[in-house]
Parts: sequence; structure tokens; C-alpha cells
Amino acid sequence: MTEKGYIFLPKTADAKFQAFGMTLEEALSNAAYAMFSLMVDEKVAEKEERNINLSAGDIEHLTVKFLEELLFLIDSESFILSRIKSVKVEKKGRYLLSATIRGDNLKNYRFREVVKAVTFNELKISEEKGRATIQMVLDT
Amino acid sequence: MEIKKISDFIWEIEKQGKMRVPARIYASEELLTKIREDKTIGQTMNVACLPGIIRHALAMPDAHEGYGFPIGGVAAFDLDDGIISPGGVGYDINCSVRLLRTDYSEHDIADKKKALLDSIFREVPAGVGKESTMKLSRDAVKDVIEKGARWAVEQGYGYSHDTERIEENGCMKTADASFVSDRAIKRGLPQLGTLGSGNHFLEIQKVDQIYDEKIAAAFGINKPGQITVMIHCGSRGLGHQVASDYIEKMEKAYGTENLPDRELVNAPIQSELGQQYYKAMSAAANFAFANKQMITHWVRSVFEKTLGSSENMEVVYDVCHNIAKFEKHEIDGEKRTVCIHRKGATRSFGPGRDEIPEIYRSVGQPVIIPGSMGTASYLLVGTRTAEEISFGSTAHGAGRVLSRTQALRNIRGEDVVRELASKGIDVKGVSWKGIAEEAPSVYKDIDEVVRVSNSLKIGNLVARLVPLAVMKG
Repeated sequence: MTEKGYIFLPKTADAKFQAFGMTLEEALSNAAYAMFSLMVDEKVAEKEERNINLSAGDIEHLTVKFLEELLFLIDSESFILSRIKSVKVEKKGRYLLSATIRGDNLKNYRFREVVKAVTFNELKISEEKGRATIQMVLDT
Repeated sequence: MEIKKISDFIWEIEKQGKMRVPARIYASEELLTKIREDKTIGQTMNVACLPGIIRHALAMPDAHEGYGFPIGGVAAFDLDDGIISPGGVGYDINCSVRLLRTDYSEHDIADKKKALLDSIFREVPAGVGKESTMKLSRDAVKDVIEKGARWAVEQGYGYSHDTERIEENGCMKTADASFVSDRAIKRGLPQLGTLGSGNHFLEIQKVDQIYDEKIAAAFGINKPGQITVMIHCGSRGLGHQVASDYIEKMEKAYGTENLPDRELVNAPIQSELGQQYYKAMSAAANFAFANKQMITHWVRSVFEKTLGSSENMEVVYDVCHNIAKFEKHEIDGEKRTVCIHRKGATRSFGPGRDEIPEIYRSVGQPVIIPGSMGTASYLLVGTRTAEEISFGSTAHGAGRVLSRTQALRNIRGEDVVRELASKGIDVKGVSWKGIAEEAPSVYKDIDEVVRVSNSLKIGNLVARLVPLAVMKG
């Protein structure tokens, strides 16, 4: 595992990465940090808080929706992520995700680029005892 | 897997496994070598497995790996038993390119180039973490996505005759805002009239070489040294959200179990969901048309302020890169309407088609193929051969060879800017890293891509344009 909790892999036109964690939740947080590492180079302050609640039929889709929600917050509320305070995944028939995230208004930062979309391409999620890995590709 | 050589520029993978038709790659040997390095061919073969696909799944000369369809993928589907797939259009719906011509020559702008670029950078919001200068209500956004470029003209952006020189006249009439989610509209609200990031750019160019004087003249391109402006942008967050929304809806309705790739999720063209996606996609396409119409207006006003006039600064044409369309094509000797998907490919219609503006109908449709930042771009003309062998399509650009991560590892933005400056090309971007990621060396050779298009006659060379100043979003 790298210190960052994610590594980028070679992929011609898009951004492919693997995010790791002791738990799925930790890997999800690292996936979100990987995505934001493409967009903002500076450290983002923790000035605002948002709550996210999502559901999906499978864990892959839930992961895509979580990252998509973070993109949605950039465009619609000018909110950029600094830190994921908490994230919890449960299975109650469907997969449910609830998270509390902290961040700041984007006007205070310079964007390198904006990720266009979160894709299902080469999406792989594995969970073994004590180690979760999320591999995904972002359209940039 | 065996790749059969059909001719110098046509390669075929025979029907195998679940493929319903063969896959064809239009490339030179040199480009094919690059194409074989990633998953482009496998993805083209996956497209060949989709229901209702007609004749071949195609990959254009600039093809590279995408998600679902390859970038540079073209496929036609039968209206009765065919499908429509967001993965065959892409997330950036109607990512598209517009070319403007001017009466200015290189000499006229020589000492104003920097001033022009600085003003363009000020007037045209990059939209990278910046909000648009427009403050629109949600109802107004609905108006934008149903009217497209015409909405912008009604608001005073540009001239009504501009819309005649845009694919679909700048408005896909099939657009229906009621099938665009609130989320998509919320994302679009602050982004109208912004360029966007990634490979999107705005470039001041000069005509470097003219290959066909008669057709160039018909397109308003008269002499080497003439100044042109190229704008490359798409439908921003609104289009991305439409794609994500319908991928989810189609997954729920039809599942992905039988698909070789989850990103190929689709719906029958005739299904309610298929029709809804088409109407929402059309709406996103119109957002992109309106976007570029506004940017055109700002570019004209910068030229007017800086050089004294924007007279005769006309739209040459505006082509869609990521789109699905219902078009008439000759299939087995019979003209019929099919659903064409072009993902990272340009429509290339020959003379006579009704879809081409009247002023160009006798020569063929202008085809605009942008290079990467700092390299040449090309103006081509559509052909009847394209209609026969590629469902009226050709390449759309250079196509990447190096990932962004690799680019950042090897290239510094500062060096790119210095190197381009030494060639007389000024570059202004939002960030150094953003510039490094789009460095000319991370793209395929655009000259080779258009050479193949011209040799195959799926888009014939008209003029070569080289950059003088680039704004990178």
C-alpha cells in the first residue's frame, strides 16, 4: 500500500487507479481522494460540511454513485472535497451508503481539470479480510 | 486474433464468438500498430456483438481505447431490432468543434497576438472551477436545451445565419427537457458559456496550406496566412449527467449480464427508455451548441475590440464528435433510416445531402479535425465514399498515446509552453499540470490520421491550419 492509499495505473485516454483500505469504507474514501488529486493540487480547507445518502443494487454501482455525487457537488454547489469525516456502507436489501464530508467553496482554488464522469469501465472491487481494493476508470 | 488486410487502409476481424458482424479498422500500418497496443480492437469487436448492428463495427484512423465503444468508434443500428447506447455516444455528449474564418492575415495580428489571447482568456470563462458569467433560472436552462444555438442568437449572441452553418442547424429538434433530470440541469445551470477542461481548447490559427482551392474558397478559406479560430468544447456537466443517468436507468431496465462490457448497456431504439435517452441526449447536444454560440460571440467581440473589426468573421462549420443520429443510408441497395452512433468520430457527408447547409451542398460538408494543443488541425470535406464505407464518418482528432499520468511524469508544463513559444505559438492555460497533460507529444500524429482519411476518401483534405495562440481550458 502506498502512503496515499491509491495508485494511478497506465491508461491512455482516461485516469485509472486502484484505491486501498483495511475496509471497503476506507478504500471508498481513498478512491474519492484519488479523484480529487486529479483536479486540485492545493490543500483544501474544511470550511463546510455535507451529508450524502445513496443507495444502489450492487456495490460497484454504489461506488460509482458516491464518486458521481462528489462531482455533482462541484458543479451544482461549488463544493470541493477536503476530507471524508465518515462513511458507512450497509446492506439492507439494497446497498446503502451514508457519509459526512468536509470541504470548501471552489472559488478559493485553482482547478487543474475537472473529471467528466465516473465510469464502470474496468471497475473491480475486492474485499478480503483486512484489505479492500477498488479499481476504477474516470473519464477526464 | 487474426487481423485480415482488406486493402492498404482497411483491416478486418472476421465474425467470431458473439459477433453479429465483422469489425473493421480504417488505419495505416503505422496507426494500426498503435491501435493494437490498447483495447481498441477488443472494444470494436464488442460493439459488433450488439443487437441490430448493420454491416460492420468500425474504428476510425484515430481510434483508441474508450469505455464501451472505443473512441473513434462508429456503428449503425437497425431501427426495428437495433439498440441505442449511451456508451456509444460518450459522457461528453456533443463534444464538438467549430471553425471561424476571418479576413485578417497573420501580418495583421502579428503584434496583437498576445493581446488577443489575453482578452480571450479574460472574456471566455474556462469553467474549470469557475462559474459562468451567466446567471440563468432553471426555466431558462430548459429553453436553452430545447433551442440550442438559436437560444443564444435570440439572446444577442451572434447572428441568425450562424445557425445555418452548424450540424443540425445548432438545434436537435428531438430534444425534450422533460427527460433531462433535475440533477443534470442543476449541473448545467452554472456552466453555460464555459469552455471546460481536459482536451478542450480555443485556438487562434493561420491557414498553412491549401490542398483544394475551389472547395477551400467555398468554405471561406482563401489564402495561406489567413487567420481562423477553432473552438473545441462540449456539453459540460449537463451532458455528463445525462449519460450517467441513462446508464443507470438502462442497467435497471435491461441488466448487463449478457454484455461483454458494462459500459455497453443499451436499450432498444423503439423502447420508451431508448426514445427518452435520445431526447435527453439531443437536449445535451443543444446545450453544447448554445455554449459554442456564446463563446463565438465573445471571440468576435475580442477581435472587434483589439483589431477594430470582426466583420466577415463567419462560422465555417460546427461538427459533433459524440452523438447518435437518425440518418438515411444505403443499406443493401436500399435507402433507409438507421441509428448511427459516432463516438469520437465526425460526420462526413458528400455533396448533395439535405443535411448540409445550402451554401456547401454542391461541394460537401466541411469536416473539422482538430489536432492536439500546439499541432496542426485540418479542414476536410465529406465524401460519397464515406457514405458508402463508413456510414458517412471519418476521424475526429489525433487520439492520445500517453496517459495523463505518464505525461505528468515525463513532461513539465513550463517546458511545453517554452518549446511552443520558440515555434511562435503562445499558450495560456489554467494550470501548468493541465498544459503538461495535453502536451503535443502525448498524441498520435494528426498528419498521419488525416492522410489515411484522405487516402481512403472518407474525408478529403482541403486545408491545413496551424496554431498561433492557444487557450487551454
